[in-house]
Amino acid sequence: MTPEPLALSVEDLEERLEEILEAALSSRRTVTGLAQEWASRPVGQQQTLLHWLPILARINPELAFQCARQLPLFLDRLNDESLKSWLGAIMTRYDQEGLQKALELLKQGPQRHDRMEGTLFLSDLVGELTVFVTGLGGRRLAIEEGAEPHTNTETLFLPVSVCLENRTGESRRLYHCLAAHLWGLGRFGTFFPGLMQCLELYPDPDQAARIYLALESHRVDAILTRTFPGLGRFMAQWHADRDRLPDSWRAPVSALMAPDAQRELSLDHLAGLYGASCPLPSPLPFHGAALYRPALQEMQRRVEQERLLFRKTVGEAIRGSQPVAMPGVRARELELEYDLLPDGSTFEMRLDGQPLLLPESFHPVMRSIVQDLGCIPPEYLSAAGSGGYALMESMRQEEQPTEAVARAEEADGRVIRYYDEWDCHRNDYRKAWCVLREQPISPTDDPVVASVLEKYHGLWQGIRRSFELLRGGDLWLRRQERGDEVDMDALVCSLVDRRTGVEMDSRLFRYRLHKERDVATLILVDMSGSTKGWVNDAIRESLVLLCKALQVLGDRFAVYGFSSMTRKHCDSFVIKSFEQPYHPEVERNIAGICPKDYTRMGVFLRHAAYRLNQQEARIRLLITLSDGKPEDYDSFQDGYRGRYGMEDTRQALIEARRTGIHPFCITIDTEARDYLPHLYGPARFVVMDDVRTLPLKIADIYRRLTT
Amino acid sequence: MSSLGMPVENNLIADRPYYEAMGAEIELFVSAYQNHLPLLIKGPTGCGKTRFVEYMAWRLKRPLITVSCHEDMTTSDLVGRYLVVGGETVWQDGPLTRAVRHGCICYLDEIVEARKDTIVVIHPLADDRRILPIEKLGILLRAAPEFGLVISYNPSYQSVLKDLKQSTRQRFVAMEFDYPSLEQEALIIRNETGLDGEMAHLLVRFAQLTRNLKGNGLEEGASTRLLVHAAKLMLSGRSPADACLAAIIRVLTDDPDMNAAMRSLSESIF
Ligand SMILES: Nc1ncnc2c1ncn2[C@@H]1O[C@H](COP(=O)(O)OP(=O)(O)OP(=O)(O)O)[C@@H](O)[C@H]1O
Ligand SMILES: [Mg+2]
Repeated sequence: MTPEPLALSVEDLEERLEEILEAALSSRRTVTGLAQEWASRPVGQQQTLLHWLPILARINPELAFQCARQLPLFLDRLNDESLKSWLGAIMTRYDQEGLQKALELLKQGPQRHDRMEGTLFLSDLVGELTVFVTGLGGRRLAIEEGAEPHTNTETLFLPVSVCLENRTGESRRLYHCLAAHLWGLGRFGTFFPGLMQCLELYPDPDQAARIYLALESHRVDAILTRTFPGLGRFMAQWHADRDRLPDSWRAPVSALMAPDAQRELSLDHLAGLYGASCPLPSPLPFHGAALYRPALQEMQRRVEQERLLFRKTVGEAIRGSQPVAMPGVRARELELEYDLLPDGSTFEMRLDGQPLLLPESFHPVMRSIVQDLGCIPPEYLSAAGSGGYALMESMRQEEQPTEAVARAEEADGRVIRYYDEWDCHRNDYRKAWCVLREQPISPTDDPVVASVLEKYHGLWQGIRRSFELLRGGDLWLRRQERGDEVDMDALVCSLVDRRTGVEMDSRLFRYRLHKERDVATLILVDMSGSTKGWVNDAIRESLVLLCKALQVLGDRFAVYGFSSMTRKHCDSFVIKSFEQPYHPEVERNIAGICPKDYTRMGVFLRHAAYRLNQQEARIRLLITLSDGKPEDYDSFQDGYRGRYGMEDTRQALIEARRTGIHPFCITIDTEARDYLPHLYGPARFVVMDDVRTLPLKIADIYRRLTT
Repeated sequence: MSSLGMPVENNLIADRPYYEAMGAEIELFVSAYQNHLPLLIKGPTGCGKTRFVEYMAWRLKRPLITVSCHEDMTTSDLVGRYLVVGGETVWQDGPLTRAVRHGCICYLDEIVEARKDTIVVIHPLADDRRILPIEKLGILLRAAPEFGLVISYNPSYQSVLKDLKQSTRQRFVAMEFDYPSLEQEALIIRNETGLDGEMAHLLVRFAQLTRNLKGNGLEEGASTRLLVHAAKLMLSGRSPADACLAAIIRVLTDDPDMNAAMRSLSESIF
């Protein structure tokens, strides 16, 4: 048995590293920092490094140097196998695409197939965690990646990945705990507008903040433990070593665990502990970093914004509830009061003793104000001069909340509507964010469309026959015990029976079964640039067949095309409205469907839902014909693509379903199998592997959907 | 012509139903009933509307006739129809007619599900005339003084079109039901199932978290009814997590993300 090798010292490491990395070093770039970092690592990791470094250095010394810097970040959660495959991937990338690309890969860290068991990536959990914190209640919070876990009270920044004891389940709980803890700091008053002044009483405000946040963490954990016993059990694993707390911390921490402890208690103890200058207790894995400035900045911005919003909304409500002021009569000062239910759930405002009705959508804002400030400050309530609550400051245009989608204007025959858009980064809507114009499409003549019936002659015969069978109408159930009308045939038979002395049949009624096909369908057609060529032809041919089939069936239907170019230009083209009958003009409109720009899915789904909901029908069906993921061209953040576009689309579909619409998607994007279940739900979509088969199948898909 | 029908005495509620009052709803019901005003009860599913009406019927000692409305319901289903029995045509009162004739409380559950042309038959009954025209018999039936009309609906999940017409609404005195407070709801679960107080509290906490999700991917949060179900499963030996999964989470959503998130919420509580 060989004895366990000893860990290398800083000097040993320096020597070895210099040897290996010589070509990457210079007088300004030495290995001292590296050697110090690696000297603190367990011997096993040092050996792993010294095994790989020469191999990498032979390929490229710079790559090796950068690896030596990056590896400590990841080694803890990589086993030998995954390390090997990760470094292998980096070297392959270097061979194929050069140093820059290889370094990028290095920076990204180990890819998911290389992950060590028990490592959990935020990207796999972000959807679930967002819902999780929404469930906890209070202000809506978004979740994002952050190197140091913290919260700014609007967003929770969580680590890219966590790993606990090789058990994924535990890692998941750690994420929950982290999220709940950061949520708790925001919810239970750790951050408040006056915090900065409190910290500035100390020579080193940052040190004071570290102590304060450590104290608050214990207070918040105690609250969490009381409210969420499940989380409490998990956290207890760490809190169990409370004995390891520095002596001077024990009494304050115990006091903070009392149910009625508030942040003021932490501030009191801060004074004592700051003077004692004893070491801070080591932070627990779910406590996050001791950051407070982001929260205070965000809070300052929000308090100001919500103050304006409060004045505006309450001002409008008051004006709405008051008779028009007579000229010359000075408006009386009005007395405004409010009540907050103990659970914080409901507000009641009263104006001179009369209840003041505020829009439902405003309640979260009032809750948010109370969460930040503890109450609605008197200066918010006192009317500003005789003008009352007139809006003095104008809100930032972008943030101005318009009452949902209510605004509609008609301009040269075009309908213009504003729609909200869901921003998954904020976990909230951007109000009236998209401008949608509904306009006629330019009709054309195109042989592709004109010859559809010839081309698919046989198919069309089949479609027609099967659709004729589905046609609605009343179905009379005859010879019933009970029913709406007398069944004459049955009655005559019975009378004959009676005459002839046979026992009379008592089933003399007929019962009307409403077998009405009470269906309204809106077909939403993708006209984005990517549909050019075959796709566009297939879509147009399919539409002709489907429209004719719907005509036979007698279902009410409409067809809208869509294409967008940033949120300000979302065009909805009317190919056939619900009111318009189907005739040759519609076919010329279908011929006019042509590839244009992008696919800002959400706004079009919302508009389609709006149109569909104007139809009184038992079943309202929204069918999207598309060729790819939601995507638009714009410049904010990452723009309308990726997760943002996806989540907005999903939200729009949720809204539609809530109003009783059944959404369904037909797509030719073969990657769609990965994302459509998330948007539409299982079995609410079809993926066409070959676009050319779309005309053959579309009618059949529709038939199956509605029977 | 003879008339068919079960005696309404069968619809008397013998045992006192358990109902935990949330506010002054019992008094309001009594006042409305005494003044011959029909009552509209709004509220999310499973929050105790049906239970409340049963309790009131018991308390006022009137038989209760409940009709669950649905799309295919016709006027005859409510008012009555002719049957042929042994060669003779016999009139059979519908549930509404029975209630009107014998002075029962008639409860039309989920009224918006019925078609508009069906709903209008209650109009003359619901205003101060208190009469029910029975076309097929050619009569106007005057309601017995003890007759009471109660309708219910859930305003949140119906589509915009399935709203009650103003002409219907404006005949009623309206009550709004919501989920009870934490303490009250825990008490209801305890009394209804026998689950111990602490567990009942945790269960309600969990329900409140799911209610925060309403409108954020969830159509409705967990109702009191679902909590009663979960409590019963727990009492017969299922673990809290399993009981919540089966009786609440899976019932509320098909969405895998939502399911996972609600499971993590339940794990945080239990
Ligand atoms: N206030 C209450 N007192 C006693 N039990 C209650 C109360 N509220 C709810 N419950 C319990 O919840 C269950 C569901 O209530 P109920 O059937 O009355 O709901 P509902 O409002 O009629 O729902 P739906 O709209 O779906 O018909 C009851 O069976 C009972 O166990
Ligand atoms: Mg009910």
